Amino acid sequence: MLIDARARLAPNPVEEVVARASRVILGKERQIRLAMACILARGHLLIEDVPGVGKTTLSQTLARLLGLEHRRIQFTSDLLPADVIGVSVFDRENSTFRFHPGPIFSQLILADEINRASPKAQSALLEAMEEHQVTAEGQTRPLPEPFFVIATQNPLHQVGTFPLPESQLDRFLMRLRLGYPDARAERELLKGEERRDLISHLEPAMSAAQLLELQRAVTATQVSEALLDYVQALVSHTRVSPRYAQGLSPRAGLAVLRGAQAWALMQGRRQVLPEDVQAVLPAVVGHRLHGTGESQKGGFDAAADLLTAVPIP
Amino acid sequence: MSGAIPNAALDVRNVMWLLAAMAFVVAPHAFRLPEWVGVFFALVVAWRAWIAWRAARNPPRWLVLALTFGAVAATFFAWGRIVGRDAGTTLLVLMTAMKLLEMKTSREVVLAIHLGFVLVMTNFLFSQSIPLGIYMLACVWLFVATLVGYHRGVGRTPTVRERLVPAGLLLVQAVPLMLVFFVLFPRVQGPLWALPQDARAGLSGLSDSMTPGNISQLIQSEATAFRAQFEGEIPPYQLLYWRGPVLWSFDGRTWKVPDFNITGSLSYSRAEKPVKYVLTVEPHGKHWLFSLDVPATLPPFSGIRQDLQIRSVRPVDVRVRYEMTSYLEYRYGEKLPANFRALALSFDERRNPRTVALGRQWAAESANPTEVLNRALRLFNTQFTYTLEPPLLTSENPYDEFLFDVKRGFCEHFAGSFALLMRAAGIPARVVTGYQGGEVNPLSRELLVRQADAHAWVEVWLEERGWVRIDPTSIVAPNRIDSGINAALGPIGVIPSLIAADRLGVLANLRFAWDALNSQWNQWVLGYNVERQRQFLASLGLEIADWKKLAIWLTVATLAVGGLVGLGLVLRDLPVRRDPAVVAWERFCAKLARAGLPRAPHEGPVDFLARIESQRPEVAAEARAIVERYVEARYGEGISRPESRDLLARVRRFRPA
Repeated sequence: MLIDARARLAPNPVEEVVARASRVILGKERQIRLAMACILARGHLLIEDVPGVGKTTLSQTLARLLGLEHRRIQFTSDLLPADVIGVSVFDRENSTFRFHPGPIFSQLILADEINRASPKAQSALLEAMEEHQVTAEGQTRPLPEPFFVIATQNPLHQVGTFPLPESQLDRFLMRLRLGYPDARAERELLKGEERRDLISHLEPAMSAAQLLELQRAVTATQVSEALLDYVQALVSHTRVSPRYAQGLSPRAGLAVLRGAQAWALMQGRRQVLPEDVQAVLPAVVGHRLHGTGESQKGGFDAAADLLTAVPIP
Repeated sequence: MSGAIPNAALDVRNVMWLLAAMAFVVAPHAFRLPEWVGVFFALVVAWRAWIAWRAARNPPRWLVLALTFGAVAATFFAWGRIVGRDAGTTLLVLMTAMKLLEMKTSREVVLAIHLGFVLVMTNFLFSQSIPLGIYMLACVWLFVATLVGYHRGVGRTPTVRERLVPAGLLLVQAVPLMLVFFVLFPRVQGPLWALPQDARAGLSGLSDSMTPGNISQLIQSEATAFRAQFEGEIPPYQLLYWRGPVLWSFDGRTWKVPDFNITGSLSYSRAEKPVKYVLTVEPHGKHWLFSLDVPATLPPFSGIRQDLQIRSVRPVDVRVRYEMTSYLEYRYGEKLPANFRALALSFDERRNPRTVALGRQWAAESANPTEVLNRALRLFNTQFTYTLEPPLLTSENPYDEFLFDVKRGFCEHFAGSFALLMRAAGIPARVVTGYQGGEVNPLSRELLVRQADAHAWVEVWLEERGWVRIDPTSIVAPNRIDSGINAALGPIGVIPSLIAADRLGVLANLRFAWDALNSQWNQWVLGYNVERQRQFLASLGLEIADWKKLAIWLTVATLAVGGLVGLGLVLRDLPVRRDPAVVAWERFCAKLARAGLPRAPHEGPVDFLARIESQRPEVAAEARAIVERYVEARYGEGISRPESRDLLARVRRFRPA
């Protein structure tokens, strides 16, 4: 039936992606699903955690499974915008400048440790994320479709980081935290194969065309007035409640709705339910909300508070 | 912090609001009570503000106690008592100050706010004018806003807007109830509150005697004496003599109302058709009532004296309104009884000898009284000047001094000396005081007579003509009678001089509009007495005979207004048309809640279903059917009418254990 959470679209490449990724990144099925929802909602993904918990592994796994052409950019403090976008080189044979496209001209960018780069290099990437095009030497060049960025960053208190400004954080649809694996997963990890080898053997579980089709299906899910009421209630609560330093922007509200739509589709449902909103809300608003007062709660806690504070209309 | 207990009600800003509201409400009293009361209150408020600001300790108990006794004692020394309007208000202001000083708990704060409301009421014991009403309304608003602040609890102190807006809404909500109470509350005859005697102090108006100098004090007053609304045209200005006390007794300096009290009658020969008008007299604390010379009817509860002076049974302590008819052309008193004649000729031979000699000389040289009159008028016409600020007449013979030395004066000088000359010449004469003229409000067509229009003139008795009005002032300053006091003297006081300077007449119009508004206020708000209440309710079709019926109607109307407001509040919270799916869902959740499985407000239907399935597996299947239909209705494409009926029926049948 329509709300049977286990009945999937058949054949469902999304489930296949999740299943295969779960064999590489152990015990993190929820994060994998959220990451998929983010991609289906055409959003960029930010993975934030301490080094060594599998941020890069997750992003590489997704890139391979989605069958997308992908490139990895390791952000360092000396990275220049030209290293991201590309550079014109003088061609001696034709006596002209020829543009050598940078790694950004790919369907999926893995931006590793984005907050280690200087703000200049960060903004080169972030502008491309927003506009889906880059401008180099006075010429505007479109980026391929689909175009995603999966960025990873270290927590801000680590040494040698340039924190992303809030306006740039806002461009990521979701921010995920992986966290440490539980004991069983960790034991399996220790016993098992080298992750890198696993990734190199991964076969794509869907094609770029299938992905585009699924993205269209996300926008076609049923959003009722009652659901919009709920999303609006959540957003307006953050604006009037003294517990938040700043309310959510209209863009954030739209992000919540897109994420919820993608989640509903992944649950195999035509209509979006409040539960879908609740499932994606912490990941979507976590990096946009800051608690006030004595608690000074971090974004994820603030989002969890928001869920319990607003009744479903 | 010196050990102050954190207390939401005693938050600095809340205390400052309370102190500000208190300062506002006591400010008008500062002008009415002795200066030290205002100074003391201001000092205490400043002290309390300092305590709140620095979180300092309240003063010790013994000091508050000592100040309290001191305040009672000071009140007693200032007024000679501690009850009555002035003393009572003084005491209340001082005790409020003490309360502010010792205020420590939330309960005391609320008590202080209520004291503030009582202070608002005390202001109305002194004045019931529109500006004070508006000012006190603002004070009430401030107090309610303060109360709003106290009830916001700990945490963010509310902003000015967050205080004033809810307080204003509360007051607006109270308006219907206020109107019901105003219209229906049983009125009592006389003033609504039995005002203490001293509430009547300081009323201005004519007195029952006239000494050179006392009317010119009245002339400085812009205060309203009475208003007249004429039926038809307003008579010519020079005929507007408003008759007040008639003065017969004379001791050489002061003219007085005689002690005798002989009832007169309204029978006299009259000519032409009568003038009809309605008078609204401001309280003046004395017995007399005014009428145009001469009255043809009597107001209720009044009598007329032989000299055509109308006396009210009770002193005019409240504003009175009565209909009058007068004849402007008349002849009365052709027969003068011997005792009255003697009184109208009496004077002290030893005082004012030169005046008396002049009168006697005229009598000897003239053939008849008319010639004497003409001589006197000629004298006034040629040698005298009209002024509001004549030199003080200090000698034992004031009229000698005036007639022969000073020769500058005011209506009372002219009237007094003229009457004395007549008496000396053997012509019976008396002084009539009252008002002359008035100001027509072009907006309301009302004639406004101010204290500044106070006037004195003379009546002489002539054989076969009776009492004849002679106004010596009109001989000296014809302007005074033809167009009013301002024409005769130039503008007096600040407001009239502004008006005179305002060529476009903007100020004059504003003043007329203000006066018309005041008149309406007096008639309909302050003058809403038993009679008016009955008339007004009768016009609504309610024949209400006594206060018991009125009380029943008041109760009914209060309940009706309260019910309507309550209904409005309930309806506001209800959606216009409820989605049947939502109704069904709420019943479903309520049934489960009664069965010990309440849905959290933020719990979605599918999550709730999962909980039901694990905790109440016996009803899982039915619950699933309901949830599926609800989800489709609410978050899907909607369900048809039969389907929603089906959903409701399923919920009705649903029986969680």
